Amino acid sequence: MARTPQRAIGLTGIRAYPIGFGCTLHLRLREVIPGEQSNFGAFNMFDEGVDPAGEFADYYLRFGVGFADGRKATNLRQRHDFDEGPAPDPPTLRLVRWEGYDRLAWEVDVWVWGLPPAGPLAFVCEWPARGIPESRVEIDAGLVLEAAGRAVPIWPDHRAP
Amino acid sequence: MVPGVVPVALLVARTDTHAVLVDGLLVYPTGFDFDLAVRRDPARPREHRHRPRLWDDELRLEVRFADGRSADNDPRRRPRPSGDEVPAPPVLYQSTSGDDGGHVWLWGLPPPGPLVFACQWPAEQIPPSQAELDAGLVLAAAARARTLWSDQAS
Repeated sequence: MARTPQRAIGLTGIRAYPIGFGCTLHLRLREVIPGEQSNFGAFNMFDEGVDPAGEFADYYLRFGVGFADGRKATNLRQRHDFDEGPAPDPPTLRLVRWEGYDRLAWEVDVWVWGLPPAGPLAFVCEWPARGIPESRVEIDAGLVLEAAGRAVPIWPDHRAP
Repeated sequence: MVPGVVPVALLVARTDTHAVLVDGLLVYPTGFDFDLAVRRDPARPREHRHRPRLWDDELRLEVRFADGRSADNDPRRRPRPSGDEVPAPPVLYQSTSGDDGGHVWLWGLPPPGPLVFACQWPAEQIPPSQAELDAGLVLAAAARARTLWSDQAS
């Protein structure tokens, strides 16, 4: 998705289900930078990236998806309570796992509630403090829709997990 | 590096209550990583389980190569190299684990032939189960991996 002389951001592992899809965001650091947080300062796991004015700090990695019909979901507006209350209006994005390796690699699993309509499906990131401007890649949403069509229930006689 | 991808979702075990899947294979020239995912039948109530204190109580995973070599997630068998000593591959390192599975790095590429993922989980009544993947898919993906920065190996 983006690459600078020191950092790169990529996306792999799109897994599609009838109600949405997951993917994995990869952050790579070329070399250890003294003073940089072990997670590259990428995410505010618990909202500490928001300053008193409600603005996100520059070190906060912005990530989102954009559908062909104009709808979008980003990590600036996450739903933390998927398991409670009514289902959110799709698309909604949630970070579900983050894990770092040897101080140079970081992975974040993303879940997007809601399947995209046919057309281009955009993945967008921006990381102001790390010199990465808004960067955008697109894939054919048909790939995701076809994959969702191949999903099968593990227990066919029950509600799909 | 940018890994090569093997787009599979391998159903390794399934009982009336649990399923174990391997997916998300990302392959590098030195090995591959993947997700070990545990699914539970949503129609059945989830039992609260205390986090196991012993590996014997956890989901056991073993990866077997066609030449007979294997590696598993038993932390007691994980090699502890010293100095410049390099352990003989394959070496399996499960970086996260728990009731929902974990994330696994396997150091070492398989030879051509069947690549077997085997698991069992006595504490959850999952008997020894396994699924195979053509190692050629992994080797082909390793050849597609590429460096991010041309003057660096990773």
